[in-house]
Amino acid sequence: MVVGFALVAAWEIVTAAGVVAFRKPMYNALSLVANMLGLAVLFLMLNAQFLFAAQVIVYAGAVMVLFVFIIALINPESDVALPPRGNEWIYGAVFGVIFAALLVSLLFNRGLTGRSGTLTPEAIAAVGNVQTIGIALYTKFLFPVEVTSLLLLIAAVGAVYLAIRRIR
Amino acid sequence: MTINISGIGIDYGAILPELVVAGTAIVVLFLELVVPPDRRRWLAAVTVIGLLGALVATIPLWGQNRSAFGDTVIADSLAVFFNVLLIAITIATVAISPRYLHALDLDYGEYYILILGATAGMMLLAAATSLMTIFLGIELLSISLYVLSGFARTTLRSQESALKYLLLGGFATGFLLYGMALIYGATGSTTLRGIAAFTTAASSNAAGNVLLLLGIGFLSVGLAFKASAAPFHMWTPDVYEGAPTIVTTFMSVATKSAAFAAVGRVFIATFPSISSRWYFPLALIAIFSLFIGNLVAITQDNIKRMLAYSGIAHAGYILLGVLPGTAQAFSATLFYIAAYSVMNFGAFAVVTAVAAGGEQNADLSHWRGLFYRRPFLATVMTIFMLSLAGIPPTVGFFAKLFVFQALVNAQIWAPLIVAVIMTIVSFYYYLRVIVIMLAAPDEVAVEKRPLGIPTSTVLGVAGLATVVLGIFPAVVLDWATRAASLHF
Repeated sequence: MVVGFALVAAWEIVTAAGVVAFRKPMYNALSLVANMLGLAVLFLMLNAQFLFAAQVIVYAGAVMVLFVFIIALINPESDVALPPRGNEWIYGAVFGVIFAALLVSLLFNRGLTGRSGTLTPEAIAAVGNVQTIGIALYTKFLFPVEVTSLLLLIAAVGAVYLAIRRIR
Repeated sequence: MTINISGIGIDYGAILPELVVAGTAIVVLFLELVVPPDRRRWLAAVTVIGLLGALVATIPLWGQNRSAFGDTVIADSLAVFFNVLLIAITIATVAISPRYLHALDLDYGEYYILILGATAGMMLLAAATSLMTIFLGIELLSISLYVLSGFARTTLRSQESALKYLLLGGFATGFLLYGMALIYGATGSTTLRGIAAFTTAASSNAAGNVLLLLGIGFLSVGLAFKASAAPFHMWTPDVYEGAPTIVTTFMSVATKSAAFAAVGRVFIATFPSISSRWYFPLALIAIFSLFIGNLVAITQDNIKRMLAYSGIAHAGYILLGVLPGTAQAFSATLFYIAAYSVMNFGAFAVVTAVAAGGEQNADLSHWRGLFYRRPFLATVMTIFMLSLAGIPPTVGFFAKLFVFQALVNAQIWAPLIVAVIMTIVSFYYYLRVIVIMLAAPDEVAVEKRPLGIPTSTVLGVAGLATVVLGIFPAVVLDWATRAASLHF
């Protein structure tokens, strides 16, 4: 389990670096797909099979396919690269290192003190994985789920306005 | 497998105001299809009627403590206080919108739907008692405002404003969500009630819990971004300047109010036991906001940018009332928010009215001699500037006085000294606007369009409220005191 986690974690770091480092938009997008797939594997290792499937279908599948389509539409010649890097990556690297050092030092000094939940693999197996999520969504989180539908409606109205409203 | 939802406390009465606002948005969405393009003013009327309905629905909830839907949302006096404030701001915004939108050829029905969506999000944020509803409220208001700031689609500045707000807002949302995930990981609960139960239990040693403290830190970054407090204010001047002025008017007061409702519920109600941990970062944010907002505002020659930096400074003053961590001090914050809403809305509404009258340029030099061209606008603007500066007998004076008093009572000296000095600094740029308006006019012939009844009414009421509340502040202070008893 630990070895598996270490492998996936290394995969996540490499692909995340790829998202930032590649100079061709298509490679960035594909790195992001690889990153999303690694995340899905992490969900699987945490006994969240439904989240694994949703992650693969929605993010690695639908959302990223859209990304790749748009990149292909904007650059049909396929080998368009971003302009050469200026000096701005230095700032990004400095802040990234400071931020990472902060997180790592805090965690090593004080230790992780998360709280373990009630949903052990046995508890989930007794009800069923998808059922557990479904019951949580439509009882405990009923109100947030309903608000999300309003959020999507407003987002759709806004997107339609920005995209296709005719200008007089 | 049956799903039992009787135990989660379904209570539509508790969320009736939000339901009415969201329902009005859907009604406007359908009416937009049938109302002819030259009758879009009707949509504004329908919007105002819906908002009045929400106002009626919210009044009976005053003084109650109705937690609903599994502790994700609550109807209490604090929620009612913000509901009334936000609905009033939205009604005033919608009332002055048609004239401005018409002048810019932007009178589309989507505008009212998005304004209603943003209002529903803000009201939800003020009533949210769970990390999930806080997040959804923030996203609902943010996504509406991203589109609204880019509503003038063909204007480059408006596009820039929307894109900048979207990218930086998405970045801040990342912080917010990361913070919430860490808090959940540390406490095992998404509801504020559950989190408070964990942090106040002596056995959990919350003050030494790194995950929890990191989470609170990231959550503060996300909320400070929405309240445009320094050093998370970078987006504010550009977005305020580029967005259509009517949208800036709305978001400069409404977003800030709603964000501080969440700040109160999270910091004062949920984390009182570890106030020693969040006091210093919040004090730093307040001091930064006071310094950056007031000092940079001096150098601005564009009235919208000047008011943006002034808004950053006022975020600092509002945050000062949170620092003592008591309900009494939070009532000063609530009074300040109400006062700020009236006077800052008024100031931006004057900018909107001037723009709708054909003077799109928000450069201060174009305001030279406004007293002679538009005496009414210049007079109310003078009132708002005096109030923003905190000069008696305006409401802005008492707002600052109450916040300073709260700091003295709590013996918090360093932020108080900064605030007093920066208030004196702020006199310069507020009074400068008045001096410019009084200066002898240039010989520029500007076509004058009449203000229209809705605009003059809104401006007159805002100006009157600024003065009357400055003479009789006790009424609103009493409401604020009763609303400041925080529940979750």
